[in-house]
Amino acid sequence: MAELREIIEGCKRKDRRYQDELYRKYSAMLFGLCLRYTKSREEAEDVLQEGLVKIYKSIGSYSMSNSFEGWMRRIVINTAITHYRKNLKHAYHEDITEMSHNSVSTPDDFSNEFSREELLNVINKLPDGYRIVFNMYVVEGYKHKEISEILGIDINTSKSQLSRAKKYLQRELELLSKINL
Amino acid sequence: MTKHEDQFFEMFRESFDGFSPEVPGSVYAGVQKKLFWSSFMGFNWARLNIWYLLIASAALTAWGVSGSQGECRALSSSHDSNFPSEWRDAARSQVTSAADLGASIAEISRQERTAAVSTSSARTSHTANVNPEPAVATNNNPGETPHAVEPADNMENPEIAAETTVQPEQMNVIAPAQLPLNLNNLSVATESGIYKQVHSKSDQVVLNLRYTKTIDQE
Repeated sequence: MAELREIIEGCKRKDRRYQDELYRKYSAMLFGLCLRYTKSREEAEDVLQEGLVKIYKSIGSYSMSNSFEGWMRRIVINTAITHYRKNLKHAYHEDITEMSHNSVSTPDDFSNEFSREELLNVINKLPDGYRIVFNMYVVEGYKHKEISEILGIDINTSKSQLSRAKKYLQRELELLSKINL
Repeated sequence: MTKHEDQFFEMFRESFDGFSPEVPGSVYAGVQKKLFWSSFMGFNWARLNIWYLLIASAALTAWGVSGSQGECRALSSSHDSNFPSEWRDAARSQVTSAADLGASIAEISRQERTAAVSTSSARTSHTANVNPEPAVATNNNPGETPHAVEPADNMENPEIAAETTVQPEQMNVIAPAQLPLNLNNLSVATESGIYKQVHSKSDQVVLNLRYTKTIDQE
């Protein structure tokens, strides 16, 4: 298997062999990321496809000093955000609808009783805006300031969306917990 | 961040750590397809792309146009002696629209009619009774050889003893291919003969009209 540096140099030369190698090595990890940022598998496939095309096209601008995986993740996250913005009209409508369910107070204390698929399902049910903020903050580890800059929203909006996302998830997980019992 | 909140978020963080589901094969096929088109549409001296094809097709079109015009000139000059000069002028016209094509055909018909009337007047008077409008019809069998058209007034005239079909002659009208007509099946009937398209070429349709004329004999 080729070294990472070799793969990157090969991709910069648009060598098909190295492009295949990069795909084999990182596509699954990036697909997992896409599944968290989108509503459905089909949407995730679209985002991954667009993201990979951007990676292959802009790999020439990548400098070795930064983490390559981090660089790719940022590109795919940005692609997911662009995808979300394209569908913003529908997403806004959905946000309004979903917000009415968020008045239920639920406990925070969940043990690890849920599988990854169950957690992914509840994340996918989140309204688009909540889901993006939640993923960026909780899984990717962005700060609210960074999220607000990337998404072009106020810091307080980012905080409130995270709070609402959390409440929504708690409610859904509680329901799921009852079903599992 | 509270302790509870941290635990809740940690549950998600841990669950998705190293999450690498299987990717459908169609994704990479789509990626390669997009990369190919992107490379194809972008200008690059080192690769065959759309710009090379555009240059090649422009050169071919230019070659085709100059070739068809040369062919028209050759055909026209080889049959110059068979048509009055006014007919030739109308027939060589560059047609740019369906209306132009109709006008060109009408002009041919009008000049032919004028000539027919003057010729007939010198001989007999029966050909003066002609249809004032040219008829344009589509021929459902393009492979069919041109045939003589019998003028309607000839049937009623006992003075006409027989008809003779002369050898087909050719006239050319150049029309662009996007004319809203089925030019492949075009035939143009006039009072004393039929013009029929026999050839088209490149992005222009050369209405290489074969003309068969009936001559009434007394």
